[in-house]
Order: sequence, then C-alpha cells, then structure tokens
Amino acid sequence: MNSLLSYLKNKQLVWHGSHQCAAMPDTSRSGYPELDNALHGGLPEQGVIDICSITGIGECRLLLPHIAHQQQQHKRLLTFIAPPYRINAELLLAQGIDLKQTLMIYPDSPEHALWAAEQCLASGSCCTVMLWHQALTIHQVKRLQLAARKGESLQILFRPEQQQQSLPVTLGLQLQPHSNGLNARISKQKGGWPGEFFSINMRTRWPWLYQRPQPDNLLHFPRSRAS
Amino acid sequence: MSPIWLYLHFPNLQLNTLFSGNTGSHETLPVVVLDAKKNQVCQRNGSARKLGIQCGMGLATASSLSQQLQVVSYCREVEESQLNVIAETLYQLTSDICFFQPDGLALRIHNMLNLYGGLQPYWNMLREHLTRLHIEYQASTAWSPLAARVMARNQINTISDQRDNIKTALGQCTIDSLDIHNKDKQKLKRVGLHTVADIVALPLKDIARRFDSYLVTYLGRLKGELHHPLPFFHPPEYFYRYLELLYEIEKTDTLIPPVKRLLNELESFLKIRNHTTSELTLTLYQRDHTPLEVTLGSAQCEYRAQSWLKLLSLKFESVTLTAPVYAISIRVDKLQELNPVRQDMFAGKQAQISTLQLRAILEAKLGASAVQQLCYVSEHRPEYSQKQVPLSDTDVDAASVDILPDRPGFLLSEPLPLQEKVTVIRGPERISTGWWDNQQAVRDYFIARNQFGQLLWIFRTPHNYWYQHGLFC
Repeated sequence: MNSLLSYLKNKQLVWHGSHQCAAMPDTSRSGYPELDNALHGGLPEQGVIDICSITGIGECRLLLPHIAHQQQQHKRLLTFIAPPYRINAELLLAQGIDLKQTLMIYPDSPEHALWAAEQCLASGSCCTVMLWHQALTIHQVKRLQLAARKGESLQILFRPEQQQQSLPVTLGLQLQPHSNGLNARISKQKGGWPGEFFSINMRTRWPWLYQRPQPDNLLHFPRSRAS
Repeated sequence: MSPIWLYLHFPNLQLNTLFSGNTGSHETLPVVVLDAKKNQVCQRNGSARKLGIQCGMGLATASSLSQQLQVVSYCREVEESQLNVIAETLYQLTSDICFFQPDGLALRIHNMLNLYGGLQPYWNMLREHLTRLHIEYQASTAWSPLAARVMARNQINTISDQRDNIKTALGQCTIDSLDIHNKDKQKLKRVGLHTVADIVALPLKDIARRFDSYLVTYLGRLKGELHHPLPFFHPPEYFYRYLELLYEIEKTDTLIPPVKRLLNELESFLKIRNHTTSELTLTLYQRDHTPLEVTLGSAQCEYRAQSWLKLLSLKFESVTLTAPVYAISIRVDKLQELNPVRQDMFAGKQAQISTLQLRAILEAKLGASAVQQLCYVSEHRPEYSQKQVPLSDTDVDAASVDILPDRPGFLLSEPLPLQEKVTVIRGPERISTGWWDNQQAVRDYFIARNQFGQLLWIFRTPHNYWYQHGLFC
C-alpha cells in the first residue's frame, strides 16, 4: 500500500493538501486584519494583484500600507504608470514613502504603458509597479506575471469595475464602497478559493474619511416653528 | 640609439572608409574613387583592378570597362578625418605620430622598441591593430620619415632596423618617386642620376653647388643628416566620427549596423581613456534635407556599445526619416570618469539593471517628459504643494515639514465645478493664502461622498461656488 502510494506520488498523480502552502507566494500583512483573515495570511510580495473597482473609493489606500512597507524594506523603486489623475505627494509622504524612490510614468498610449510596466517589473530595480489600464487581455497579464517573477517585483493593476473578465493573476480583488470602508471579494487567489463579499474596516486607519455611526439613543430636538 | 621611423601609406583610404553592409557584395561590385578635378581614377578596389581599371584612367575609359562601375568622388576631408581615426588607434601603441596629409602617417618608433622588445614584436602588434581597421596599407621603416615615406609609397615594404637593408631598399627607388620639383628631377636625370642610391652617394655640399636650397634640404632630411622638425599628434578630448554610406538608407532599422560600427569605435575610445559618457548626439545626414539630430542620454554613464545600441533602437522607434540617409556621425563632448555602480553582493534581491539604466531605457522610448519624479513643496495650496520634475533634476527635496494626513491621493489637474449631489462627511477646513503672489486662494475644503460611494475632496469659494479638487483613492 505504502509503495503504491509513493509510486503514485512520484508520478505526481496524488494531490496533497499540504503542498498547497509550499506553492503559496510570500505574503506580508496588509495592515487590515479583515483582509489578512480572508487571505489566510496577507498580500503577496510578488506577482500580480488585480483590483477591480471604480476610482476613488479607497482602492489605493487599501494597498498603501503594504506598498510602503515593501519600499522601506527593499529600498527599491515604486512606479506609477498612467494614473488617471495627478498623484498627491502629501499622501505618499504621510504614509512614509520615499519620494526619491518613486517614478511617475505618463506614456502616450496603453501599449506603451504595458511596455513600461514590463520593463520596470523585469528590471529588478522596482519593488512595486502600479498600472492603471482599461482593457487587459490574458496574454498581457501573463507577460506581466513572467516579468514580475523575473524581477521579483509586485504588479498592481487597477481596472474599471465593468471588466469582469477573469485574468491569470496572483490575487484578484473586487472592491465596492461601504460606509465603514470597503466591501471586498476575493475573486481569485493563488492557492486559495474565491469567496464572498466581506467588509474591511478602514475607519481605524483613516478616521476622517468615514462618518461616525449615529448612536441609536440620540433624539433630535424638535424644532418648533414660530408662527 | 639611431632613429627609426615607420611610414604608413594608405593607398585606398577613402575607398576603405566607405561603409558597405557586407563586405562580400562590396567586393563583387567594382568601385572607384574619382578625382573630379583631374578626371582621373585615384583609388580602385579589387574587382575594379581585375577588370583592368588603372589609377590615372579617365572616367570614360573606366566606365567603358564595366557597366556596374560605382563611382565615388574624391574628398580630401574624408581622408583627413579617417587619418585622424587611424592616428587615434595607433596612439595606443606609439606616442609620436606625425601626419603626412592626406594619406600617410609617420611614426617615430625607436623610442618605443625597448617597451615592446624589438622591432618585430612591435610591428606584429601594430599590424594587429591595423588589420582591425580594415584599411589597406603599405609600411616601411627607415632612418628618416622622408626616406620611409619614399619607400612605402614605392611599395617597398621593408620592416628592418638594419641600416644596410634600408640603404639597398631605398637605393632601388627612382628619382621620380621623390617629392621634389619636376624641374629638379629633369636636371638630375640629365646628369645621369636615376636612382636614389645615385644621389645619396653624393655629398650634400656638391649638390648644393648645383641645385636650390629646397632640394638640398629635402635630400638632407631624406638622408637623416639634417634635422626635420615635425608636429606630433595629440589625441582630441572629444569623440567625433563621420561615416559615409555606400548606399542610402531609408529605414531606421537598417541604420543599426553602420551605427553599431561607430558605437564600437566609441566604446574603444572610451575604454582606452577609462571614461564613460552620459550623452551622445547622432546626426543623420538626409539627402536634400536638414540633418536630423538624435540626442541620446543615459542617466547611468555608459561606455558599452551594446547598451547604447539598445537605447538607440528604442529611440529609433519614434524617429521618422524625411529623406534617405547618406551619412551618419556621432559626437560625444562630455566625458566622465568611469565610476562603476557597486552592488552589495550579499543583498537579498539583486537588480538585473540599475535604477539609472531603467530610467535611461524608459526615457529613450517614451521621451524624457513622460518619465518624472514627484517632489513635495511645503505649500498650503494643493496645486502648488507638489511638483513633477524631470529626472535630470536629481536633488529632490523630500524634507517634509508638516504633512497633513487627510489629503486625497488623486488631485485633479485643475478644480472642476461640482456637478453631483454629495453628502458632506467632514469639513470645513479653510485655506486662505497666497495673497502675496496674486494667486490668492480662499477656500473651504470638505470631504464628501457621492452616490457611487466615491470620496471627493471639494471646496467652496467665498462666492459660494462649489468645486471638486481631488479623490480619496
């Protein structure tokens, strides 16, 4: 029996539940306990993270602690490629990101944006590359994956919400706004399963952006009309 | 030690300079260089020689011998600049080089022989360098530059430091091969002197009685009895190469091989000097159009032809030629000491290429304005609180004085009128500043949420107009 098992194992016909962990990429804490729980660890340190959301709900702020940590640890470049608006230096500084180690790239076409992303990833001198792109195809993402593996870097893709196409990424996240932060769903995870929507509390980190919930024992003072 | 001079004569200098894609096809086509003033063929290649084309032939005779004859008009400047290139190459071996324009070099070698251990090892070394240049040459040694010149031009390729060998070889040369006036040649022949040996045998005093001072000085220098002052070559501080193409090129892809040749020359130029450069200018001379200048920069100083070629091929993607290119040149003015980037051998993650190299690659393809760095300025007006600086301004001041954390991630390039219904979450925060520079801003900033859940940074002016200025991404 035992020899049969080892024979099957050598032929790679038996799937081991424990092997799954070995294949998992290195992760580090995202700074949001809910997200870490859902991901069974944290955000990957290299590979491709795909964020599907509308702009301006907190999609960058969700990843900023992770990005800042990566940059401080590896002292490598953080690259922004084709952001839809100007990136505010104050926010990056407030998060402890070294501006000397950032690069802004404004390519004139989406093809050039992809080219720049691939170059940055493969160079090995960037730790994180953030790319805003409207329409990505599977083979383009595969190329980015290979480049990220070569340069041991992390690619973060920001895609509009309408794009529901599944891409071969290390981690896929779908984000929706929530009064307390974000509603997130893991649409794809290497070595994991897609899950349901869960809420991420961003109030602790960014208290000024979210309203305090109204206490239920509050009574509005009735205004009487002077007549 | 008795002086020894080596003279190098380049009979086909302009012809050898012409660029042809592959030497194979170049050989099959007969090519001649025509001196337009005299209407005489002055240089010809191997296949032209096989067809019976002789130097000194007229154009009509030459072209009647071959239908496919390629004719290039003689240009003294090309030869002179090529002579400079050869001198630069040989400067690695010899310190004293003199020009004999337009097609010869005299090298004072007796002071170099100790270093190389004799004439033969020195000559082998020199020959190796000359072979790499792909230029035909005739070489000869003698006790004076003029004597060596006469021998080399007569195709007597004697490399020897024995006085007797030189004397017999030089003696065979005829009077006609000397650089003297025709009148004097006639006179010498009339008195029965036909070879150099005949004249050299006569004492200078006797010649001085019958001939003018020019001939006496010349012969004195030839024999090495009179001093011959010559200016020596000093290598230039900058790099410039001009390359004329045998055929016109219309596509930038096909320009790569000739450019590569120039870049290889640049590499050896820089390597010898232990220098690098951060910028080079490539000029493409276009037929009937203004020359196109392509400036190529590399933040990390480079000397390797391979790296420059990579940047150049990226740059060529955005270059459009208006007319065919007939010549190219490369110029490098600024040289820097080679200062290699050191990487920590034990650092965890090793970069394939350095940050500066990456920037150079990105700038070459996307243009310098597309690659920028963010820089913070201590200023309350958000539109002035940051600058995006091109990468050449390297001193980014990251001294953060007091950073407010509640600032949005995205800023609109200019505020837009607010056109949707929003719920205010926080505010107001008044910014009233800039009264000193006529860009006064009095604004009450609010953080608001719209119906899609987007967090907006909006402000109200004193006139109650509402604007959107940012997004909390």
